[in-house]
Parts: sequence; structure tokens; C-alpha cells
Amino acid sequence: MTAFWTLQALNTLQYAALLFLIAAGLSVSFGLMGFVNLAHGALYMLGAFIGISIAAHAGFWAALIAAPLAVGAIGGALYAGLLARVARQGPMPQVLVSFGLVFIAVELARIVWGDVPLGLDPPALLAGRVQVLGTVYPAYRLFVIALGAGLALALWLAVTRTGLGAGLRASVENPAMARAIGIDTERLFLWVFALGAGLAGLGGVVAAPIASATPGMAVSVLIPALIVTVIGGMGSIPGAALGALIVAGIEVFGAALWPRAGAVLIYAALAAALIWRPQGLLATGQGR
Amino acid sequence: MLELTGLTAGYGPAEVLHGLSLRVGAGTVHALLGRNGAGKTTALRRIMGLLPHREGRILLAGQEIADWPTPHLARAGIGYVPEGREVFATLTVRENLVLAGRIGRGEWSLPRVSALFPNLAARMEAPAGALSGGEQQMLAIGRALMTSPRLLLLDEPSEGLSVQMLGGLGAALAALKAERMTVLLVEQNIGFATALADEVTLISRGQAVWSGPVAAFEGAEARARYLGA
Repeated sequence: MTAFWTLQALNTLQYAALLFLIAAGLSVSFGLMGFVNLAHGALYMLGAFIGISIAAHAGFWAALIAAPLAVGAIGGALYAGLLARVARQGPMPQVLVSFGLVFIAVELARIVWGDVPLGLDPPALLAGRVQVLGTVYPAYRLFVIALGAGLALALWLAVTRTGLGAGLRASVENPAMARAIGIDTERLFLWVFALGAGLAGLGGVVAAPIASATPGMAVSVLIPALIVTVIGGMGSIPGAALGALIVAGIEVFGAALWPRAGAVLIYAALAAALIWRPQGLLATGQGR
Repeated sequence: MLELTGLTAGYGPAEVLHGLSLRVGAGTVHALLGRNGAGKTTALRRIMGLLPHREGRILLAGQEIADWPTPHLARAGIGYVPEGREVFATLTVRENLVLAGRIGRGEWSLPRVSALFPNLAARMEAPAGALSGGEQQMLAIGRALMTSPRLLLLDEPSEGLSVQMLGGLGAALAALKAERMTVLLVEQNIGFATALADEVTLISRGQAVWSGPVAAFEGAEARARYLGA
């Protein structure tokens, strides 16, 4: 029986790690620019496909580094060329343009990579299974948990302990005043946006060996990622981590314990969060 | 140091400044006075680039800066202390100051700001949002100083301060003046402003209606007409 709980707990952590990678960028662009960037799902999907293509030539580890860089560059270019302008125009243009980008990206992915789900083998080093607390668990999934936890910690330290992080927090709280002490908020937002895109791309590569890549993952990931952001609070790294743990926990344990209600529970949690703490559990910034 | 010529500014279709002109000499304190809604805060926001450029000229030490973006103006040496302080409430006092100091040229340091505002020295690790109103005002000024300004824009620093805090603030600003800091000071508290100022410009409905040395302002007919004081 303990093995069952251990297994579900590990599944929760592994799913939360993935959700965190996707939601971190979404949450920060929400909190920073008040920007509902639905194109984030497309960046996640592109990360998976680009990663698979790179891995075919240069192996998994090269893909793990190069694909997020490529997706980060795509995200940065999208922001500089299009989304920065849209971000200033309120929620409706943001949703329409960024969701339009999702459709474009999905069609492009169909043309380039086709409609058949593509898999990616975990690297040989992580191909096996490991004994953990009375159960056996794939080593690759443990790696995903460690990667998500490590990045969450690194991001949190970067935001709370570095000068760059202080500049970011100041810009989230009061962009006009941040500019008045010489912070180029536009350039800062571009870098943060590219970083968020890169993290989503990383999420895509990391997810590919667990669930094969399809163009549809650009859309299917959006709902849980948005729920993570709403529950955790906009613009907060700990919020994104906490929200990811809550959403992953509800989905994993819901599916295991109460399969018939599993799909609904997450929306019930969303509704409860909106009633109880509409600004999110750990929100920062102006909460636009 | 600062010269405004025929400056207009506003919010959307509403124009608030209708051709404001004034000169702030280097090393002087210039008080910008006028009733509520006369356009004082708008003038400072416009100089700092927080409102878009429309018409008119702004010269900083002879250089045209009217269409510069705000971060460039901060780097060019304009320190801005907004109405309502606007300290970064979620950052500590130290973070507020150090962050602003990143563009400074080292003329101002944490010890120098602490010496000017002793109240801040003991609260360095406190979140700025936890400070009293007077302490926040000192932090807002200290933050502007950390950027090594040649020109300080102060928007109603006396607002809402206790008498004791007001005395401390006045002493600190007098010390800055003694060091020949150039200041454009917007105030509702006429006595506080005239005690510090060398020059006064009175504005009404977005235009300068009187300008001159503070000594002449005391008996000026315009003072009674536009301020009722």
C-alpha cells in the first residue's frame, strides 16, 4: 500500500516539475506585463519537436540544451516583433493574437513534423529504473523531478537574491518608477519573456520521452498551465511552484482515487481558488 | 540647468500644460507653486518622460531631451521623487537604494544617504512598505539621490508629514541645497517651499503667471491672486 502512495507522490512531483517549467514563464509575463500569453503552449510544443529533431542528430543532451535556446530565441523574436505591441492593448487583443499564434504554430508543426505522435528515447544514462522507498520508478522521471526542483530553486534565488531580480521585482511592482531610476523595463521584459519561452521549450523537450509529441500538445497544456498561474498567483516563482504542486496533486491523486471525477476536480479547485483568493495564493505585482 | 519653453502636456485628449516656460539655474532651488490642478505634477511627469512629448522644448544643461525615454533621462542625471513617494514596497530599503545606485556614478552611497537621513540607517533590511510615511519620503529622496542626479525633481515632499518629520526633511533639503544640488520643487506648503527656494514660478491653468526671486515673491500681487495666501 505504501508503494501506491509513493508512486502517486512521485508522479505528482514529476508532473508538477513539468507544469512548473511551462507555468513559470506564463506567470511572470502575466505579472510583469499583464499579458495573457496563450502562445506559451505553442512554445512548449515547439520545444518538444525541435528537441526531437536535434536529438535525432546530436543526441538527447544536446537537444536538452539547444532546443530551449532555440525556443527562447523564437519567443524573444515574437515578443520584440509582435507581442510587445499587443501586450499594451488589453486582454482581448492579447488573447486573440496569442491564440492565433497557437493555430499557426500547430499547422506549421503538422507540415514540418507530421500528425503522427513522435517519441523520444530517454538518454541511456537514465533509461533504467531505480528503487525508491519500496517502489521502482523510471530514472528519467526522477531526473525530471530534480530538474524542475533545481530550476525552481535557481529562479527563486535569482529573483530574491540578485540585483537583476530586485530590478525585476521593482519593475513588476511599479514599471513607471522603475524606469525613472534608469531600468530599461522594455529590454528587461524582452529578456524575461525569452527566458520564460526557453523554460517552456525545456518543458517540451523534457516531456517528449514521457508523453510523445503531437501538435495538439500546444493547446492541451494551456488549461492546466493557466490554472497553475491562477491558483499560484501571477508573477511569483514560488506561486508557480506551489500552483504546479497543487494542480499536479489533484490530477494525479484524483485520477488514481476517484477516476470518474478526476477530470472535474481540477476545475473545482480553480473555482475554489478564485472564490477564496482571487489574486492567487502567492501573488505579487499590481495584479492587473 | 533646466529650461522649459512652451511645453504642453496632458492625458489623452485633455491638455493640462498649455505652453509652460521656466528656467532652473544650476545650483538653485526653484519652487513651482500653484493651486490644485494647475499642472505642477503634470510638469514634473512630463520632464521625466512619463507623459508623451507633444510641443515645446526641454533643455537639460543645453541638451534637448524632450523626447527621450524615461530610463535615458534617469541616466542623464534627472532624479525623480514622485507625489505619493512610490517606493518599491515589496523591496527592502537597502534594495530600493542599491537598485537606484546601479546607474549612479558613485557620488552617493548607502552611508552618505544614511548620514543625510539617519532614520533610514536602522531600517535597511525592512520592506519599504513597512516604513512610516515620513520614512518613505526620505527613502524616495535617497533613492533619487543614489542615481547621482544633477537635477532633482521633488513632487510635494511635505505632503502628509508630521511636524517633526517636516523639520527633518527641511533640514535634509537645506543640506542638499548647501551642496549646490539643483532642485525643481513642487509644493502645496508655501512656507516650506519659500524657506528653501531661491526662485519661484507660479503657475495657473498650465502656464507660468509669475516668476522671480523668492524675496520678490513675498509681496507679489500675483501671490495673493493665484494662491490666496
